[in-house]
Amino acid sequence: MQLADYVIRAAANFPEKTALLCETEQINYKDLNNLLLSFCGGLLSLGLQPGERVAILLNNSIEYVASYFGTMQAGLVAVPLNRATTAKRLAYVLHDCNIRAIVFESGITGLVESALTTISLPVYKIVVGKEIMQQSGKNPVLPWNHFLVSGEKETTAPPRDPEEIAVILYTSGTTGDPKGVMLSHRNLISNTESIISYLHLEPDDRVMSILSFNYSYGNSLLLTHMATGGSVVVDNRFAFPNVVLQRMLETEVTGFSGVPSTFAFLLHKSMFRKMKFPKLRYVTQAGGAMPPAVIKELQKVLPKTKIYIMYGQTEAGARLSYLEPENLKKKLGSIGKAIPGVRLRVLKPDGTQATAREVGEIVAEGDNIMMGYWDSETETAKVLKEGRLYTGDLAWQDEEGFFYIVGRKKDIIKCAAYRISPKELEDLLMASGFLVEVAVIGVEDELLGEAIKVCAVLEGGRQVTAEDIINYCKANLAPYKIPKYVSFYDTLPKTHTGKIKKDELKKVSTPVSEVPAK
Amino acid sequence: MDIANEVRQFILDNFLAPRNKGEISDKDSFLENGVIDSTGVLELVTFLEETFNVKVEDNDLVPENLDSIDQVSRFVKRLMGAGIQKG
Repeated sequence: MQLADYVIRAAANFPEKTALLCETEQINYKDLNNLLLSFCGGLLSLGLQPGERVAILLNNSIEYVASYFGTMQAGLVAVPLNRATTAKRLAYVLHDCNIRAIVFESGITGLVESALTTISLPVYKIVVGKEIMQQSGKNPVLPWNHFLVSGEKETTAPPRDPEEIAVILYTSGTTGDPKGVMLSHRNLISNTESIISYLHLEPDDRVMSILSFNYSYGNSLLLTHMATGGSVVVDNRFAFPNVVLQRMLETEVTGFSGVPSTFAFLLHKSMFRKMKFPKLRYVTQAGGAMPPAVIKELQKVLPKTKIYIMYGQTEAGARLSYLEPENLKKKLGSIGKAIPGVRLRVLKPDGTQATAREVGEIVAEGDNIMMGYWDSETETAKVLKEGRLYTGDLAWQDEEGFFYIVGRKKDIIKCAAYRISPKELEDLLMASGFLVEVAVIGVEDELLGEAIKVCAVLEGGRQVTAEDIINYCKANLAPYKIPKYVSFYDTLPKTHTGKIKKDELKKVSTPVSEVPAK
Repeated sequence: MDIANEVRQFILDNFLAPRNKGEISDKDSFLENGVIDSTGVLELVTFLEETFNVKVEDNDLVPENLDSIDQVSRFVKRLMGAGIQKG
């Protein structure tokens, strides 16, 4: 069993069923299967060797999905990458994993060419789009349509070892160089089956995907729906949320997935609150902790939809825990318990298990845990010990075993003699009703070591001052947790996966106003 | 005040990497060219509201109004013409 078998199996079971609905086109499983086999044949005709890497630098699209599964069918490793990148960062990644072919849209030729100048070995350029590129230099140009017919449809690929690397996903790397997370077929199949079981996904399910497939959360949306023979509605226009919401109604999606900023955006900058989604069976949220106040708002807007709060890491193929919708009210703020097939524990620094309500690091075990970081034994050794993933996330468990995240180990603010969880303050501040989003960070302070700074985006039309924020904190927090600074922003800087870039806020981000509290 | 010039300058200064400067025409779609994401749209809206003293409603956040320099210019002119200004 390997990942491309999902599409091959769905094509056998539901040949005419729609696999992908993009903005202007759609494709059924039979045609998608043919496309991926053609892509596989094209790659094999280039003489690439098993295990070599193929970069996919495409928006969510039919071509993305065909390239992704076609690469794996050929026994090669798919390296999905974010299009919104710089030439320098792209060059780093292409060089890091010694890429042999790259699939991209003609519109970003300049970016790709610029990145490839630093790569010495020839790289095959498979180009999607109408513009015709001239052959130039050492890197052969292969227009998508020509490439597809260049090889035989590969229908007799030998069975793949599930332990082989299927995908390398580069972490967004808010600090330092990006790291390539190696995930085997077994890792991803294990995680996919687990997610399908707890979300109760069926062939009739149809998910709206606004998350990039090159992101582990988006990748899992794609895999779970291909595995069940469901449908994925692709929409790359979330910058205009009303368009996506309207399409959700038209396509009668049963599922929607987002990160915390997705829901903040929907609740505050769209028509979401005024719309009804009778077919929407479930919503999932992952990609960082979402403040309980936002979860409550979401519940109000979607009273009949099941809301799954989930937690995971790219290093775990996406998912590690989920909170059942039935427990959402009772366990608000929890990330639930381990998903099927995963063991989660909270360990103290000395390696022993924490007792109830004692904070420690979340450590995970299971078939989904990555093989390691590409070409980096040192980095791998820091997080993988005896097959266990040390997540770097601090948490505690209640008496019933539900996990509650405190924050990233590295984000904990060390203010005077205290260790302060930014998440506690962020959750409290979001509950104030003043804010669209907020990040709490530690900034250098001569006296305290670190001082607490609130970076806030105000709800439109709110006349709230830094003093109001401080007073609200004073009324609700112990004195040592009161922030020293409050800055207001129009928006907070984010990674392409929607995570707030706290490091950037600490360094250069320019607030609209910055006020030291008295 | 030339609205298109102001919008173009804002987009160039805030969203386009140096290698892309000048690579976007007034008709090019921000979405198709990967110029802007959801955070970017909010920044653009804040810029429009502050620079042109107009009010952009949630239901105005559609590509027809905000997906190219031309569309943004037309949209701002319409708001200004209709007197939809910030209170």
